[in-house]
Order: sequence, then structure tokens, then C-alpha cells
Amino acid sequence: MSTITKKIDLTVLGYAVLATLLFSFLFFTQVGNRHLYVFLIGIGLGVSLYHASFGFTGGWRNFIEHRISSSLRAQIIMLGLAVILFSFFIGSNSWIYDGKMIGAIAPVSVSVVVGSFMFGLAMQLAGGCGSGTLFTASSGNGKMVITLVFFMIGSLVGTYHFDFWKSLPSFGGVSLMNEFGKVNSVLLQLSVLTLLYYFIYKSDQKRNVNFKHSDIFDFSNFDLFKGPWPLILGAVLLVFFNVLMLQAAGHPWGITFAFGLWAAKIVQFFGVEVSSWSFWQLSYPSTALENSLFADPTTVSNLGIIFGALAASALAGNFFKASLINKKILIAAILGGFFMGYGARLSFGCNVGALFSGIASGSLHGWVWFLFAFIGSIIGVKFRRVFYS
Amino acid sequence: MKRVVYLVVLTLCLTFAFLDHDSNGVAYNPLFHSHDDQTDGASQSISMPCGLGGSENHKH
Repeated sequence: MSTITKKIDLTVLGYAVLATLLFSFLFFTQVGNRHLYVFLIGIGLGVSLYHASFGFTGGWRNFIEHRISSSLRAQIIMLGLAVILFSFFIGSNSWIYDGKMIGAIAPVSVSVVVGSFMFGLAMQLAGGCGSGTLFTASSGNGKMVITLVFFMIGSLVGTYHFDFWKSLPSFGGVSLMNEFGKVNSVLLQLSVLTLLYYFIYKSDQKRNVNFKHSDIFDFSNFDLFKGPWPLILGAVLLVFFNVLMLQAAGHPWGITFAFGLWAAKIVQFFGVEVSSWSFWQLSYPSTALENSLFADPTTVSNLGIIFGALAASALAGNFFKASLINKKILIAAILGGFFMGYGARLSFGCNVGALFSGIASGSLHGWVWFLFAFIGSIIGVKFRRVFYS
Repeated sequence: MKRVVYLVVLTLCLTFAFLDHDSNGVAYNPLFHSHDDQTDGASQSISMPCGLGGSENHKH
């Protein structure tokens, strides 16, 4: 087998390293040491996401269309590991600061059902989820840069409609740990994940004769610096960094709150009174809006992901890999980005903040998000054909 | 050329963030608040950036 050795992009790598040093210094001296840790964890996440090509969208689509389950199985293993590890830490004191760590518990509501369905559909149009959009846009994918811009716009519009969605029926936050106790909650969630894994691999095995459990453990092309990394390594590292995020930030990893915040800051700069919207008067969002962007931990970790993915793509020699953008794909990127942003606001996060961190924290809303985003994706895969034919 | 344009645009975005930092500062650091001071005391319902406003929304 012939392998093509790609050249490291030293300009881009130099930019990423300099930016990392600059921001590390800034966070340490002007914001706080915990922000520095969150930033460095973000860098680890960015490198892991890029080198393991760890995205939810393509994995779900491969399963829906071809019953190829490798990515989905890696995600199930990731969730199982996270459920176990998080159960030790949620509600306990952090190793890093003097205080308790909290889970990503959000309400189970009509807005979650609508928002997650919308997100699942839109991510198939865009070709990337919350984390996928961020790390691919950061590695120079032009289509995903457009998606990211409209993700921000959609998030902002979602915050504008906050009152309406808040008024719809809701059961409130349901923590499985609080309802059933830690051990039972872990056993219950692991049982569901095991059943899911069984169903997924059986479906794959039935359709694809070459099915192998070991495909996600394939280290044959592994290169630490240039990638690719096997899916299982990506899954384990994402759990590892999410646990570190919990320890440093006090709450699990999230991505999309910052997108709405960035858009709100930009329109505020041009004179729009965002602070009068009821969403931006709530305690956390109003604090984030009034303060420096660098005080917002989600922004800080996203910056880390941007520089991490930038460095990883430069090391792999894949920065700004040409991607075909025609009119149809452009429309898909715009619609996908906008409705992912809007859906993420309704459903309390994306595949990371709601699904990954939600399920890891034992929040029922994470499971509801998973179900309805997957149903949305099944429909999204059909719609996608209109744009990508 | 496209690489350079991309890096310039990224630098402009970061400059906007720097300007925002310069003008707003860090008057209140969300990572330094005491979680138990902010809510009804239930550790699972404390605010976090989960979208519609964390704990404020968890109560409805």
C-alpha cells in the first residue's frame, strides 16, 4: 500500500502555537488560572476531534444509510465511559478549586423535543454538528465557516424567541442520579447503552459482511502528530478531557452557548439592544454579555478547540483542504447552520452540551435529545440528497 | 492565498474579542462564583451555559 506523506504547514502551525502562547499568558495574567486550564483542555479537545475525525453527523448518516456502525459504536462506548466516570465526580469537590462540580442537567420539555429534532435534521444538511462545525471550520473548511456564521445567527434568533419556547410545557430538569441514586442510575444507563450497542452492531453485521468489532481499535495507520487516530482513542480522549473540564470549569463541556454570545456581542457592537431581551437578562447569560468574552468558559474552551484543530490540521498537512461549494451546498450550509443554532438554543445544547455531557451527567434531557436528534437525522439524510446530489 | 485570507479573518475576529475584553474587562468571573450562593441549593440545578439560561429555566 502506498502512503502519501503530506508536508507540515509551518505557517499555520506557527500561527496556532503563537496564538496559544499569547492566549495562555492572557488568561493566566488577566482572567484566572482556571481559565488557562479550560483553554488548554480545549486545545486537547481540538486536536483529538481533528485527528480522530470524531463527528456525530457522518457517523449517524453512515448508519442510517448503510448500517455502517463504527462511529456510532465509538460514541456509545464514549457515553458509557463518561457515565461511569462522571458518577464519581458530580456533586463532589473539584481537585482544582474549592467547590462542587455540577452536571449538565436541563429540562425535559417540548422545546427540547422540537430543538433536538431540528438540530438532528439540520446537522445532516450542514454536514457537521456543534463540535464538528467548530473543528472543521477551524481547520480551514470554507463551507463549515459559513455554517458556523449561520450557527451563530440561528443561536441569536433562538435567544430572541426565548419567551415563547419557555412558555411551552416542561417537566423541569430530571436527574437520574437524584431519582434512582448513583449506582442505579449508572446501571440503568449502561444497560440502555449496551442494548443500543447490541442493536447497532447486529444491524451492521446483518447488512455488511465485512463487519468487525475491532475496526474502531485499528492503530495500523496511527501517527501521534499527523493523525489519523483510531475512533476509540478519540472516544477515550474526549471522555478524559470532559472529565478534566468538569474539574476545571465546575461543569461539563459545552460549545454552543458561546456561539449565541458571540453573535449577541457583535450585534450589540452595532447598536442592537440585546440586553433588553429576556434571555440576556437571565443570570448566566447577562453575566456573560456584560463581561469580557474571555471570562466566559465556553468561549475559552472553544478558542482552545479552534487553535487545537488549526495546529492538528497544519501537522497533518490538511489545512484549507479545498472543498467544493456550489449554490446548493451553500444553501445547505446556511440552512443547516441556522437551524442547528436555533435548535441548540431550544434544546439546551448540542451533541456535546446536551447529548454527551447531558447523558454523562445522568440528565434525562440528554436521552430525549439523542432520540429526537436521531429521528431528525433520519429525515435530514433524505433532505440532504436534494443539496448534495 | 486562501490560507492567508483565512488567517487574516481569524485574526480580525480575535481582535474583536480583544477589544471586547479591553472595554468590558472581567468584572465578574463566572468560574469564581460560589455555586451554592446562586440557586435554591440543589447542586444538580445550578446554572450552566446549557442554552435557555441554566438554573433560571430549570425552575419552570
